[in-house]
Amino acid sequence: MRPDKNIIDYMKSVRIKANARLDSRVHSGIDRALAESQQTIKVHMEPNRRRIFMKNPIRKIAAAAMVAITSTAGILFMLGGKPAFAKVIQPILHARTVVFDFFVGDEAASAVMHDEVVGSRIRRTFSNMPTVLVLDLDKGRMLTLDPPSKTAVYMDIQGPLVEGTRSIMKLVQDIVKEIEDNPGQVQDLGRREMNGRIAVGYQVKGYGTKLHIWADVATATPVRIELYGSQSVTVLKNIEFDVPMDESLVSMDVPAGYAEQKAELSMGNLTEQDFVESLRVWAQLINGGAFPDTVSVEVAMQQMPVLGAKIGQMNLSAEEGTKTGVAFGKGLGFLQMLDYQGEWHYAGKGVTFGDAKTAVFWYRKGDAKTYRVIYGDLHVEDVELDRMPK
Amino acid sequence: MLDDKLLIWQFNRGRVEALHRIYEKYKHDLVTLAASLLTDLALAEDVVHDVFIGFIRSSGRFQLTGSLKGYLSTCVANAARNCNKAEWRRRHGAIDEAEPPVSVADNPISQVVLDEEFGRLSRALDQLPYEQREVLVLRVYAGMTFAAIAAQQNVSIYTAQGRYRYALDKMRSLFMRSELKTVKLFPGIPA
Repeated sequence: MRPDKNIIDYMKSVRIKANARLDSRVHSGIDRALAESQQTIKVHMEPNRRRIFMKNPIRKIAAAAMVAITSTAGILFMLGGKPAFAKVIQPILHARTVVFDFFVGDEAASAVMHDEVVGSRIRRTFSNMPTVLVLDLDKGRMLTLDPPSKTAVYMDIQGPLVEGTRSIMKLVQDIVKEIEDNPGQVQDLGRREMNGRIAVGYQVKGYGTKLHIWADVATATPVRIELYGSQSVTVLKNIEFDVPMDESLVSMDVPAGYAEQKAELSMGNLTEQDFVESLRVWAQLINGGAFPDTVSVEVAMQQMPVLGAKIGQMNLSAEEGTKTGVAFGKGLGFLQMLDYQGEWHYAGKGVTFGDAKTAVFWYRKGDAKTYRVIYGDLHVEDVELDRMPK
Repeated sequence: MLDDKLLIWQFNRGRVEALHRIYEKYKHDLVTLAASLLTDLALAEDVVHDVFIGFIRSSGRFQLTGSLKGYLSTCVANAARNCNKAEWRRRHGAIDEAEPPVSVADNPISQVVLDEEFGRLSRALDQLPYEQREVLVLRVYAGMTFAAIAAQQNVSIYTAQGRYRYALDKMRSLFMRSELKTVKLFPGIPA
């Protein structure tokens, strides 16, 4: 055989497959374009869109759901203890305040959240809605403020949500601590320009995941942290320490001019049943009777306005709408927990809601000997490893 | 081909789901093409993503004159070339004059992500001048004609053919004296 042909054959034999992360990014972009054409979604809303948005109850729904989705990334660190970091920069172990932006998945496609942290209190705002959340991590309470309607709602967030949120913040401090203690365990990622500044990156692996920390070379402080789950990435960026802040911003009191609405809502434990409910909402409400092509936190966050629009069309009461949003968010919170605590597979693309014979999702935590399998009619079974779909 | 024309017809009428199918149909080819041009999987993913997001904007007015795969491959090649220039500037520009250039394939992230076989190939491709690598990769992975590649590179067809020949010669010589011999390109020559 001719050597040239062998070279060509060899090259043809080496193929790279598009991975799930790229699939999700591209499909999300396409879905977003579709949604925009239907005038239902735009991550960074223009004023006219915002007015439409304010007419329906989606703000509270989405805010409640997103707090569930986005808080659980820190659970990894709660479970795994302190990740080992080496060399890094200037320790800031006692920052009184921390401010940062964070998002899940692709920045261009995701809603960005802005956190202002004072001790155990967090004020959270969003790029795609006017809602303000104030979280008290010590008491496991969340105050939801809706500026357009001047209403306020308290919610119980005890359990993994509050712990996950706390752990994200703890991580920021651990970064600095571990630099001092374990300088030999970090892999250098080199330098990269970030927003006009030169940052140096470090990688640490362990606990089934990896963590990238980028620090400003000039100021020697972390400016970006990337937490890699098995199928998602949560990014903290624009991190600043000891920013002067007005503590009234994190007050748990209802502000003057706001009316408190009583609601029996809890964002406590995240369970398999929550995820089943989120699949039901996704397939029945958002997707019109079919399971989505992919499930991910990133895509779910993009679907929030679509969900709000559907709820608006159904004329559900505010309470019913909020419960639906909470159910959706809690389920996705459970999915994100799985991202760090176990393994999961989704196969719902093309499956019709109600199909009792087709498995759409299966997962297991840790080294469990059986998978929990969710079928198209949302019944759940335990299945031995050797009986699992290949 | 008919299937592609149907997809484009649907795409131009606002059926964005047609784009999902186009992506699914060609995603592996395009990622392989981009990764071979850039020898960096993360950059390759960015390029493929950007090409598709850019492609959405042409809905309603896109006209397919050749093959859809060829069109998308050309888009990927153009985006990869721009990305490669930006990456070159980043590495050689004002970031750190004293820092020696580092092969993308030596980046620890890439090492983790790229599988071993692709790592070998990318190290070899990384040693080709970019224009030669582009001709070789477009020819092998995208199946483009020399005329199309020449138009894409804005050179004569003879120049494109020459670059292809130089690229193959260089690859052959690299394979002969490197660990790539282990892929047994040359039966009879001990690996």
